[in-house]
Amino acid sequence: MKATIAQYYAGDSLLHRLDPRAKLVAVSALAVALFVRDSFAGLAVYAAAAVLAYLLSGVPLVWFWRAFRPLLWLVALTFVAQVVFAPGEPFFSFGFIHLSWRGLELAAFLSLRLVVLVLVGSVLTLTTPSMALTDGLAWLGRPLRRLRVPTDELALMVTIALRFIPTLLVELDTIMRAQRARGADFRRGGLRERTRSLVPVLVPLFVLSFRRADELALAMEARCYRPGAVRTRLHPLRAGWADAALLVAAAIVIAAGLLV
Amino acid sequence: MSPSPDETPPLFDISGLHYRYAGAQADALADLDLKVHEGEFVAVVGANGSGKSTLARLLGGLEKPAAARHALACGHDLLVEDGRMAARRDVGVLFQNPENQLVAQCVEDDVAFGLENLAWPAADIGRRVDEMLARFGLEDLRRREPHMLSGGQKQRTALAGVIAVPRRVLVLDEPTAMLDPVGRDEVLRAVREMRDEGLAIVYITQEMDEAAGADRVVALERGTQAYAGDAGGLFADAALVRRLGLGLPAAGELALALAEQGRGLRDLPLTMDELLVALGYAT
Ligand SMILES: Nc1ncnc2c1ncn2[C@@H]1O[C@H](COP(=O)(O)OP(=O)(O)OP(=O)(O)O)[C@@H](O)[C@H]1O
Ligand SMILES: [Mg+2]
Repeated sequence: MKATIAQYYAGDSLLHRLDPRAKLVAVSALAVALFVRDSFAGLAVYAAAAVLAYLLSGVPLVWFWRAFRPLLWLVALTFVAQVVFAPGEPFFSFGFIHLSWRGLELAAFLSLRLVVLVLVGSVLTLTTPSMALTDGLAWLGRPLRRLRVPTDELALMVTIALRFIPTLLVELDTIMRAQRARGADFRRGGLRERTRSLVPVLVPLFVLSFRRADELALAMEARCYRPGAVRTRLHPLRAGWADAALLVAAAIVIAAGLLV
Repeated sequence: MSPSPDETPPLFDISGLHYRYAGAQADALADLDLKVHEGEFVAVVGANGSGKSTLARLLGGLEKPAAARHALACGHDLLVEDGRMAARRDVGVLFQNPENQLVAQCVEDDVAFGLENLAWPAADIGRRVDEMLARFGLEDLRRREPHMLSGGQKQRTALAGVIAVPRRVLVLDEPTAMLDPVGRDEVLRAVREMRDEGLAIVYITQEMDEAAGADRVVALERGTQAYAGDAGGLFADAALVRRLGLGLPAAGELALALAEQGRGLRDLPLTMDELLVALGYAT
C-alpha cells in the first residue's frame, strides 16, 4: 500500500542533491507568483520552468501521474463551472449550457495554473525525502522559537506521523478485513449505517495507536531522547553554491513571469 | 564466558526493589533482588503479567522504582533522576514489538537516532552507523522505509539502533516473540554474536529453548523472584515449572515423552545436542 502524500522518489539528480531549505523557498515563492500573475504569458514562463524542473529531476513521468490523477476531477469541475456560469458573451447556448470564449479561456487558465502548481510541488516532494522536508521547515521556522514554539519537536512529530501512515493503513486494512470476515459490510446502507459500521474498525485502531504511542515514547527515551535537548543530525543541512544558484534562478524566473 | 563476581562491580546490583503502577492494587515487582556481572547472559522467565517487562523498564532507567534497598545500574543510582538518565546511556533496552520502536523514515536514520540525541558530531554518527549497518547485515537496506522491512529486519534495525549508542549491558524484552521463524533466527544470531563478544545481556523470554542456554535463569512469579540459578536446576523441578506456568525446552519435552515409553534418561537434556548424546546418537 502506498501513501500518496509526500511521496519520495529515490534518485541522485541535481535536484535531489539540493538543500531542502532552498527548494522550499524557491517553490513557495513560485507558488505565490503563480497566484499573483494572471496572464497566459506569465503562466507560460512558469510552466516552462516547471517542465525544466521535471526534466532535471530524473523522476519517471508515472510518478507524477499519481499526483495528477486526483487533479483531473478538479480540472473537469473547473470547466463545468465555466460552462454553467459562463462569463462574457456566449457563442453557443443550449439550455443551461453556455459556451463563451472568455469562459473557456478562464477555465483553461485556471486548470493550467493548477497543473503547474502541482507539477512544481511534486518535483519538491519527489526529490526531497520527507525527513529532509521537515528538517528544512523546522530550520525556516526557527524564528518562531523566540515565541516558544518548539519547532524541532514539532518537526520530529511530523516525521514520526509520516513514518506511521503506511503502518496505519496496513492495520486499517487488516481490521476491516477481519470485520468483513465476520459479516460487516462497509459499502451497504445509508450514511448513518455506514458510519456506524466504521465504529468497530476505528476503536481497535485507536486502541492500537494509544499503545503504540506509549511504546514509542519508551523506545525513544531508551535511546536517550529528551525533549528540548540539543540534537545533532546524521545528515545535517548543508547549503552550497548550487543552492544559491537555485534561488537566483528562481528569482529570475519569477521576475520574468511577472514582467512579460 | 565465566563471570567474575569478585573482580569488577556488578552491572546490575538490585536489592529489595519494589514497583507499583499508578492505581494498581498490588506491586508489579516486590522485593526483587538481581545481580548481573560483566559478560553474563541471564535469562528472565515468567508467566504473562509476572513483571518481566516492568523489570526491563526499571533496569533501563525508564521508570522510577517505588522503593529499593539499593538499585544500581552500571554504577548509577536508579532511585534518583540523574542516575536514571545516566543509566539510559549505558543500558540498552530492546522491546518486543519492532514496529513500535522505529521512529525514523529509513533504516540509517533510525540507527542514528540515539547518537543524534546525544549530540554526536555528524561525521562520528556516520561512521558508527556504517559500522552498525555492516554488523547487522543492513547495508543494502539503509535507505529502506520501516514499513517495507520484514519483522526480522525491523527488529535488527531496532537492535542496531540500541547498540549504536555504546552500551555496557543489554536488556532484551522478548525480542523474538512477534517474529516468524526466519526473523527469529536472524535476531537470535545477532544476540549470540553479541554474547560471544562478551557483552552482558539480560534476556527476557517465554521460549524455554532460548532460556536453556543462559548462564543463569531468573524466574518471576507475580513480581517476586521464584527461582534463580542454572537452567538445569529450574527445569529439573517439575512442580516449580508447572507452578510458574512455564514449559520445558523441546529436548526436555521429548525426553519426557520418551520416558513415558519406558526410555527414561538419567539427566534431563535441555538442548537437542544433549538429547542426541543421551540417546547415544552422538558423542
Ligand atoms: N501500564 C500499566 N499500567 C498498569 N498496570 C500495568 C501496566 N503495565 C503492566 N501492568 C501490570 O503489571 C503487571 C506486570 O506486567 P508486565 O508487563 O511487566 O508483565 P510481563 O511479565 O512482561 O508480561 P508479558 O509476558 O505479558 O509480557 C501485570 O499485572 C500488568 O497487568
Ligand atoms: Mg512483557
